Amino acid sequence: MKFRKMMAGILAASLIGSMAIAGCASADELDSSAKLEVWIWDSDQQDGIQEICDLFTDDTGIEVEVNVVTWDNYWTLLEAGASGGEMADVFWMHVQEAEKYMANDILLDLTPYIEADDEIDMANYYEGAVDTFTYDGKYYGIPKDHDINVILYNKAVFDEYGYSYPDETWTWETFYEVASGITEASGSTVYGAAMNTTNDQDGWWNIVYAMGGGIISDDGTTSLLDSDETKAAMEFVGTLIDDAFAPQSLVSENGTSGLFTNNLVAMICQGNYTLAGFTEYEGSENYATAVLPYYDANGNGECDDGERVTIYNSLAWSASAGSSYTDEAAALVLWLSSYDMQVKQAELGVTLSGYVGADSSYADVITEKGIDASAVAVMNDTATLISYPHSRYTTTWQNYYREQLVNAWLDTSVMSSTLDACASYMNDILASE
Amino acid sequence: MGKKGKMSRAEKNEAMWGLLFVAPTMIGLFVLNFYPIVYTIYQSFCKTGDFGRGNVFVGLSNYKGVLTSSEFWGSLVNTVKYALIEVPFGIALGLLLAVFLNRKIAFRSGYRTIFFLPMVAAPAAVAMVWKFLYNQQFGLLNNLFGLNIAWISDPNIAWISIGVIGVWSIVGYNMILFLSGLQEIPHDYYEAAMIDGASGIQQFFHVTVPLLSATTFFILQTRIIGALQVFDLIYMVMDTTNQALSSVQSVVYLFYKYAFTNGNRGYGAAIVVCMLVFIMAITFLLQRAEKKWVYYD
Amino acid sequence: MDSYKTKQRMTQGLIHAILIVVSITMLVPFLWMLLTAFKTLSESTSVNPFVIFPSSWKLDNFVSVWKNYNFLYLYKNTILMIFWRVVCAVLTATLAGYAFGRLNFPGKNLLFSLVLIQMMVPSQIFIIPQYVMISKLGWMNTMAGLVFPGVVTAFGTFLLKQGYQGLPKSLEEAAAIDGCSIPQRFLFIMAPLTRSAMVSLGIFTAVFAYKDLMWPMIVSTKIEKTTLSAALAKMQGQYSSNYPELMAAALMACLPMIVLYLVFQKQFIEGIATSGSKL
Repeated sequence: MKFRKMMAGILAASLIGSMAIAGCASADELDSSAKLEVWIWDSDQQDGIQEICDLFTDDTGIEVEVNVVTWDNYWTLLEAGASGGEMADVFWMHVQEAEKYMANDILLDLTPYIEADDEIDMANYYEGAVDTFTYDGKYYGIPKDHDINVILYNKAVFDEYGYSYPDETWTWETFYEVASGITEASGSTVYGAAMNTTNDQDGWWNIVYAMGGGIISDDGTTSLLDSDETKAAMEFVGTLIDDAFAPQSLVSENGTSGLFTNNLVAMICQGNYTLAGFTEYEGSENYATAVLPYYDANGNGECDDGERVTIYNSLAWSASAGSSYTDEAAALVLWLSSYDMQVKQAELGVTLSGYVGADSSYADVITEKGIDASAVAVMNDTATLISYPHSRYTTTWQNYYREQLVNAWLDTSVMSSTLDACASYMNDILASE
Repeated sequence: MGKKGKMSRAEKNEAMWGLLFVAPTMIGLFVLNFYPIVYTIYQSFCKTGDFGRGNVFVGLSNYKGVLTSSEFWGSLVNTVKYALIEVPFGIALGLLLAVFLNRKIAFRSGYRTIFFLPMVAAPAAVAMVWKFLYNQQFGLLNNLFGLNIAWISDPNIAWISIGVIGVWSIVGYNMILFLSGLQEIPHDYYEAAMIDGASGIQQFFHVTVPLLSATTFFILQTRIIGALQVFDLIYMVMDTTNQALSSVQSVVYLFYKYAFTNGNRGYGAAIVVCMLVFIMAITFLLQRAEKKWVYYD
Repeated sequence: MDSYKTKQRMTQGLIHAILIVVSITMLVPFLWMLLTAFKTLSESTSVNPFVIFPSSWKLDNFVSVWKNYNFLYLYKNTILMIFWRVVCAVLTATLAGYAFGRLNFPGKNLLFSLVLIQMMVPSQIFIIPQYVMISKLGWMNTMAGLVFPGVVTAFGTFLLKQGYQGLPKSLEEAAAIDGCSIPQRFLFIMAPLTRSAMVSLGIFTAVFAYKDLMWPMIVSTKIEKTTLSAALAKMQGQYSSNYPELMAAALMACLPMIVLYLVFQKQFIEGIATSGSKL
C-alpha cells in the first residue's frame, strides 16, 4: 500500500515537474486510457454534469464518472482521502473549506494549465470567487457557478390574506409589514415568512449586508458580528422573528421549505439552485419568485445602486494534487470551466455559471420547468453581488453561531449578547489561523 | 495441570493451536479496533493539524478543555437521562411482557411476534417514522389527540420523546431474553409457592425476581453500556438547529460533532476517552454489584 | 371455586388488555408508515385527524422511489453484505471461542480481556481509521469494503466461548484418549455441539449488519453500491419533508427483514434468546 502511494506521489511530483518545464500537455498528449472520478454533493446536478463530462469523453477518450456524496459525508470523506486515502481526481470545492485545502497542498495548482490554455482567462470569472480559490498567487480552483438569492412566494397565500405580491418596489421594511401582517391576520396559523439560523447565505446575511453590516473584516482578522451595523440589522431580524417568522420549533422540524410547500408560509428566501426542486410539489403552479427587497439607505424612496444586495457563492472545480492523472484532471477542470460548457451548464438548467455572462438562458429554463424565475435574471443583472464571507476555518465558527443564534431566535432580547459571544468565539478562531 | 516454567509437549501443542485459533480474531481486532483506540488516545493529547499532519503534543489541555466545559457535562447528564428512561422502562416492561407471555394465554406467539418487530426494522426507517409521528404540525400524535406539543423541540420533553423511541425499539429484545430466562426456572418452585398459598404477585416477587436475577443483571449491564453509547437515534431525529438539541445531545453525539463536523479530532478524541473511562467505571461497579446481589444456584 | 374462576378470567382479561395496548403501540409506527406510503403529499400532512386512510391505494410513491433509487441493487448489496459478514463472523468467532473456552495458551487472559474492552468502546471512534484503511486498499464502493469491519467479532467470540465452556469436559477427554488431535476434536466433536450458538451469532450478526448505518454511508458513495439502511438515510436528506415518498422507501427497506423474520420467527427468537442467556 505504502509503496503504491509513494509511487503515485513520485509520479505526480515528476509530472508537475516536467510540466513546469514543458509547459502544459496539449489534448493529444493526454492519456486517453485514464479514468477520472468526479465528486459532487448535489444530486440534482448529477445528470447535467455527467452530460458535460460525457462530451469531454467524446473529445478526449478519457472516461469520467460523476459520483454524488451527500454534503454531510463529503468533507469527512474528502478529508480522509486527503489524509492518506484515495481521493477523487476532480471535485467541487467550497468557500468554507477551500483555504484549508489550498494551504496544505492538497489541491492541484492549476496556474500552469490556465496559462498554457488560450481560452481560459481568469478575468472572465466572478472576481470574488476567483480570489476565494487563489492562494499565494496560484489558482487552485476555477469557479464553476455562482448562485444568488431571491424570494420564493406562494400566490395563493398572498391572495387569501389580500396582500399584493412582492416586487422591485419592496424594501425590507415592506417585507416586514407584509410578513407580519399575514402572520397576524391568520392568528399565527399561517406565517408571512420563515428563516432558520442556518439560513445565513440565503437569509439573514443578505439583510446584514444590505444594512451595511458584515460578518468578517476585509482582511479576515476580525469578526464583524458585534459591529453596530450588524447588530442593528440583526435587531431588525429580531422584529421579524417576533412578529412574522414561523416559530423555531416548526422551522427546525420541517425546514423552511417543508413549511412553504405545505402552504404554511407565504414566502421564503431561497438560493436559485433550489428552485427546480420546488416544481415537483403539488400546488407549485402558485409559486413564483421575486427579487430580494432593498434597504433604502439614503431614504430617497427608490432603489439606488448598492441598495439591493445578495450574497453570492461560487463553487469551484478543483483537482487532487495526488491524482495519478493530474494532466487529465486539469484538462477536465478546464473543459468544465470553458465558455461553451458554462453556457451548456446553464442551458441544462443545472445552475448559474461561474463565467460572467454565460447564463442568460438559465432563468428561462427554470421558468419552463414551472416556476417563474424571471426575478433570478433581474437579480443577477441588477443587484450588488457580495461574495460569501469566509476564513480558513469558516465551518467551525459558522457552526458555532448557527447553534448559538437559536437562543436569540427563541428570545430576541438576547440577540445583542449572543452576537457578542459569537464574535468573541469567532475572533479566537481567526487568531489561531 | 502443568507447573510454571517448562511446558510439556502436550501443553506446547495446545498452546500452539490455541494461539492459531485466536489469531484471525485477534489480528482482526488489533487492526480494526485496537489500533484505532490507541490512535484515538494518542490524538487526545494532541492539537491535531489539518489532514492528520503536524499534530502537536499538547499534554492534557484537551482534557482540561473537555472537563471544564459545561457542554461536555451537559451531554453526560443527557446521556445518563436517556439511559434512565431506556434501561429501567425497557427492562420493567420487557419483564412484565415476558411474565405474561410465559403463561398459557391465547395469541401468545402473535404477541411475541409483534413485540419483537421493532428489532428488525432499519434504524433510519424507525427514526423517520417517529420523527413524523412526533411532528408538531403534521404528526399523528398531536392531530389524533388534538394537542400542540413540540415533542422533539421542547427541551423539557424532547429527552423523554427520544427515550420513548429507545424503549420502543428495545423492549422486544429484553422480553425475549427474559422469556428464555423464565423458561429455565423449574416449575417446582412455583408449585411449592402455590402450596404455601402465595398469590400470583407474591410468586412474582419471591420466586421469579430472585431466580431471574442473573438474566436481569446481564440485560442491565448490556443495556446500560448500549444506552450510554446512544448516537444514531439522536443524530437522525434531531436537526442541528433544534432548540432542544443541547438538552438531548449525548456524549457520542458531541464527539461526532467535534471530530467530524468541526474537524477538531484531538478534542473529540478526549471526549471519547473520557466516555470510555466512564463506561469502564460503570462496568466495574456493576460487576461488584453482581457478586453481591445476583442469585446463582 | 366459582369466584376463583371469575378472578382467573378477570386476570386473563386484564393481561390481554395490557398486551393489546402494547401491541398497538408497537404496530402504530409500522401502520403509519404503510398508510402514509400510499397517500398524496397533501393527504400526508393533513391536520384533519380523520384522514387516516389514503384516498386511493396507488403505488405512485413506490414507483417513484424505486426509479430514483435502484432498489434491486440495494437489496442485492444488503443480502451479500449480510451473507459475508455472517460467514466471516461465525468462522472466526468459532475458532477463537473454542480456543478461549477450551484450550490453555500463553496470554489467554490478557487477550480475552481485550475482547471484553472492545465491547465497551463506542464504535464511532473506529470509523475514521477504518475508512483510511479501506481507502488505501482501494476498497471504496466494493463488497469487501462493506464487509470489512464485520470480519471479526468480539461479541461473537464472547458468545461462542461461553458456548464451549458450557459443554462437559468428559466429551473431549474421551476423544483425546482415543488419540484425536486438537483440530479433529474441534471440528468433529465440539463445533457441531455449538450449532445453536453459531445460529444465534449468525442471526445476531445478520440483524446488526442490516441495521448498520454509518459505515455503508461512508464507504459506499455510489447509490448502486450501498445498502438499504444507508440509502434510506440519504433519502431523508434529499426528500426532507416529502413524507409519502420517505415512508414508501422506509417500508421497502424494512420489508425484506420483516418477511425473513416472520418466516424464520422461531430461529430468530431462539437465536436472540441464546445470545443473551449464554453470556
